[in-house]
This record gives sequence, C-alpha cells and structure tokens, in this order.
Amino acid sequence: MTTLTYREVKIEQIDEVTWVIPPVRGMRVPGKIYASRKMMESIIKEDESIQQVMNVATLPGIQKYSIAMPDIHWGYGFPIGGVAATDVEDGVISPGGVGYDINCGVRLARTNLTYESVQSRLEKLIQTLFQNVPTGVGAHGALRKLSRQEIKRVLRDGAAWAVEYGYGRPEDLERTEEQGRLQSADPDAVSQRAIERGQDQVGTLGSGNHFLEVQVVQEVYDQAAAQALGLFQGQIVVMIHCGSRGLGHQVCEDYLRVLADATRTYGIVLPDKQLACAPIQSREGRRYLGAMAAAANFAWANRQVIMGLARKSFMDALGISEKELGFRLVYDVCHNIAKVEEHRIDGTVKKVCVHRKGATRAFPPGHPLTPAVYRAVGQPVLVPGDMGRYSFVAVGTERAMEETFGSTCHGAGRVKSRHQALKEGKGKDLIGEMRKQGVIVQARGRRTVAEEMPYAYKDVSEVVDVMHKAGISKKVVRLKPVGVIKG
Amino acid sequence: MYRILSHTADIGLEIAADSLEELFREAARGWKHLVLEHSPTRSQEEQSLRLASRDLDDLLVRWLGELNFWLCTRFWVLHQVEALHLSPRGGQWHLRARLSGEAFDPARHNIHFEIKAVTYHQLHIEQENGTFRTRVIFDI
Repeated sequence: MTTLTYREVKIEQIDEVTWVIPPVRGMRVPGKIYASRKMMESIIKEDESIQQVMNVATLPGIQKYSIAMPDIHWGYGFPIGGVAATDVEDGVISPGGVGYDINCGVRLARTNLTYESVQSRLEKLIQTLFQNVPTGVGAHGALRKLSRQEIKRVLRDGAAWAVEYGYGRPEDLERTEEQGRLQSADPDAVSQRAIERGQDQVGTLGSGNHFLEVQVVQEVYDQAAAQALGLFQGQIVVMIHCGSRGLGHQVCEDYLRVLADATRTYGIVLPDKQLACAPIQSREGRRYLGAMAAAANFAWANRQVIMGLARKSFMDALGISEKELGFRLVYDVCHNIAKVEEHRIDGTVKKVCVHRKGATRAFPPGHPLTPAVYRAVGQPVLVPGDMGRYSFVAVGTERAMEETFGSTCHGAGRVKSRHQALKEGKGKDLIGEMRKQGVIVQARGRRTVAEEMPYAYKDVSEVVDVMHKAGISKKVVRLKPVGVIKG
Repeated sequence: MYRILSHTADIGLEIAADSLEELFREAARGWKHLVLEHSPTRSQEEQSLRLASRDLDDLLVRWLGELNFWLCTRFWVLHQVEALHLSPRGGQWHLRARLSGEAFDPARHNIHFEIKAVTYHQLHIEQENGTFRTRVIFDI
C-alpha cells in the first residue's frame, strides 16, 4: 500500500479503498476516508475537504475517527460526506455537522407496474406528477397554508402527521428511518420565523438538486435482498429527494448564532468558526438537538405528503386502482442529521451523537432499528445519482457498525459548478438531449435543467462501488430514471 | 459594485463600495440579480425594516436573509432599496431600511433558485483605502 501527501501530512492507504490521516495539528483522533486511489488523488487536488476532515477530528469528545465517504466534497464546516460520533457525556454537537437542509433525505416507493406496461403513457404520467407536486421557489404547498399550531404538530409527529391526513399508510412508518419521527423533537425550540417559513411548504419539493424521479429497476445485484425489498427487474419505482425546506434552513441559521456564542461561553477552541458547537449536555446543545429533531420531523412529513401526491398522480394519469398500482414505501433515509445512537467502542457499548452530513445510516441485518421486514437483509440504503444515469439501492452491514458508526455514502456530488454547467448547456436543447437518453424531464426553470445535467455530477456508481468493496454497504439494485421532476 | 462568484456547489457575490450603506445596498442588488436575474419588478408598495446585530458581518447575513425571507415566505419581490441607514448604538449595529416592491407574480417573476441560507463562509467586511469589501456565499 502507498501513501499520498496532503499539506505535508502523509495519508496512508490501508487497503484498496481506505485511507487514514494520522492525528496531527490538534486532531484528537485520526481521519479515515473511503475512496479509490484515483478518487483520493482528485480529492487532494480539488478542494479543502481533507482539511475539513482534519478539522472535525479536533472536536471535543470525538470517537475513533473523523470519517469521510467517497462522495466527500467541501461543505460549510464539516465536509459533505462526513461522519463524526461524539461522546454524549462529554462531547459536542455542531450544526455544521448536519447542514442547512436538516433531514434532507431520500424515499423510495415501489409499484406493481413494469416499465413496459406504462411506457406509452409515461409522458402523461410525468405531466400529471409535475402538475400535482409543487416544485421550485414561490410554489405553494399542496396543502392549505397550515396554522402555527398545526405546524407544531408536524414538528412533533413527523411522518405520522401526514399518514393521519391520508398521505400514506401506517406501515409506511415502519419503513422510515426512526419511523419518521424523532421523539426528542422540541417544537418550542423552533423560532417563529422558522415556523412561518414552513407554514406553506409542507408537500413541496424545493429546487436545486431535489427531485422526484420515476425510475426502472435496471439491474439486480442481490436477488434475495431485492426480493425482501419487493424489487424486481423492469419494475417502476419512485424516488423522492428533498428535505425540511425553509423551516430547516432557518433552524440551522438560528442555531449557528446560538452555538457561535456557546463556543465562546464554553471556551471551545476551533480551527474553523463554522464548526461552532456546544456540549451536548449544555442548554444550547440540547435546544439545538430538540429544534433539529423537530425540523427532521418536518422533512419526514414533507416526503410522506409528496409520496401521497405521487400515488394519486399515478392513479389519475394511468386510470388504475390503488390495488393495481400497489404503491408501497420501500424505505426513507435521511442524509443530513445528528442522532444519539448506541455504538460499540473499544469493546463497550456507548451512547454517541452521530453526525451524518451527506451520509446515510446503514444498519446491519438483525439490528433492532432495522425494520422487522428487512431484518434478514439489513437496512435499505438509497443513493441517488444524477438525473440521466442511475441511482442505487444497497443494504447496511455489520462492518458498517464496526467501522463507520453504521454509515455509508449518500450520492454523487458535483464535479462542475452550476456556473460551468450553465455555460456548457448554453444554446443546447438539454431537455431533448435527456429525452434521447430515455428520460422525460419536467422542470420549472431551464436553468435548473442546465445546472443539473449529468455531466455536472460524478459517476455515482464509483461511489457505491467503493462502499461495496469496503463491505460497508452491499449493492442490491441499480435504478435508471425515465422521468424527472425538478424545481 | 458586485461580481458574481462561482463556487462548486453554491454561488456568491464579491462586493465593493465606498461606504457601508452602499455595501449593504450593493449586496441587495447582487442578491436580486442572482435570484431574479432580469425579471422586471415594480414599485407598488413599501416596507420598512429594522435589524440589529452585535457585528456587521452578521448584520449583512441578517439583511440578505431578510430579503430572502420576504421573497420565499411572504411572496414579496424587492424592486429596490429606497433608503438604508446604519448606525452603531449600545454595543450593536442597527439597520433601518425602506424597501419598495410588489407581490410575487409567477407570470412575470422568474426565480432562478432558492437560496437556502446566507452563509458566514468567507464573509468578512473589510475597509481598505476607503473601500469596503466582502464576499458572501449563498447555500443553494
């Protein structure tokens, strides 16, 4: 194995896809990055994200490693693709380890339909979805504007709130991370402004890289696991990627200020002020965790409502019954969150706060938090790619528990800035190009399409393959988009 | 004066002005350019605004966050900043502004992207040879 040098620090390759940064310059633990050699070379060259892995390693109470996934890239404070677990007793919580879009995540629903059976009506289906699922800025929610009181119920009950209003089935909750509701939510820790930002946004997709895609199961890697997840080759599925909208963004903004003050109050020395943090047991730390959990619940309600809108759109556009459609949630994962979990550290089980910023939980078969229906195969992991190529479904492993606090990668990551992508798309019929690739795209803005073109993203299969090789998450199926809805 | 900055995942502004007030006005113009590009706007009603913060950098974050909030949550589109005044008082910086604008009209106003947040990354208001400068990066 070899070493690579980053700012005079020798990064050691310990196997084909794992690299370790020794604890230097105030790091309390080593850094660990999952990447192929080729990826690692470009990560070192491209940006500051390795420095950010090292910065995270200085946080008080951090355990074992400051970890990064192969889709690592620069983020505010923590890198995107970063995972850090801090001791609940004497460690810290940092909003920079969660990000602005609290509980940004992915949900996958399956159907009884095959691509062949809907191919001729796909155009109408995508149109209907685009009409029914609010996208972009300035879109009103699919629901009436909710009262402040009602929003507080959303913040407390999460996805269950949406199920109660008919946007899903009770069994959807069993197939959602944390059952779509963090009980630690404290709606009173969420500011009036954050609540106002959320009042009209339950059931909205947003813009940027968020999407709703109609996809086809293109390849099955693990037949037994696919069967347990209810997936088969040629099947139509729906993937939804969005988060907590303005409400979550405001919670992050509010608490960055609170925690910047707390950092000074508790005398915490940080290499980057965007890592602002507070002891988990402090008043500020607990308030942030409560507000963050409430925003996470909002995101689950949001994705649950959107799934309900998608189900109705399918029935309307295709003129089929609910039974014929068989719209069922496969799973819902968050990829921007901090959660108190139990992990084995140096032989003993310890409570830690796992920050996953652009990383997905990947619990193994048999784990009590893996849904009973998937207990034999492991928790499903949903990894979206760009809108032209593919996305993946994988499952968590015991190795993930040992090495990454039960976490894996979350997506592709940009390779070109929006500006570059825009320039490249100038004067081209991008929607026509996508159609040639077999993807019908409906978007509010032409600009969004240009910014989100496949060439602006890395190849997600390389990312998923690294985690597969590392034994952290095992590939189950590959999904190919055939219809995309964006802001 | 402002210039649009390209950033791998996000987008930002580099702003320079002869006074702090002008810096805040330019930031608003730059923000409007990014979000609404060349959508025509009208002055149909006025809003007044008061903000305060312990430091100027944070006040700029709040100022742009406020404009964003009016657009994305209250569906009110800024036409222009009619008046803006900054003053230090009681250990805080205070901002008073009068804005003109109109209700959001999807037929005329094309919003290019949603700004999730105004970040503190690289944000540091500096004065050099009588010119105030800063960068602002938006999370989108």
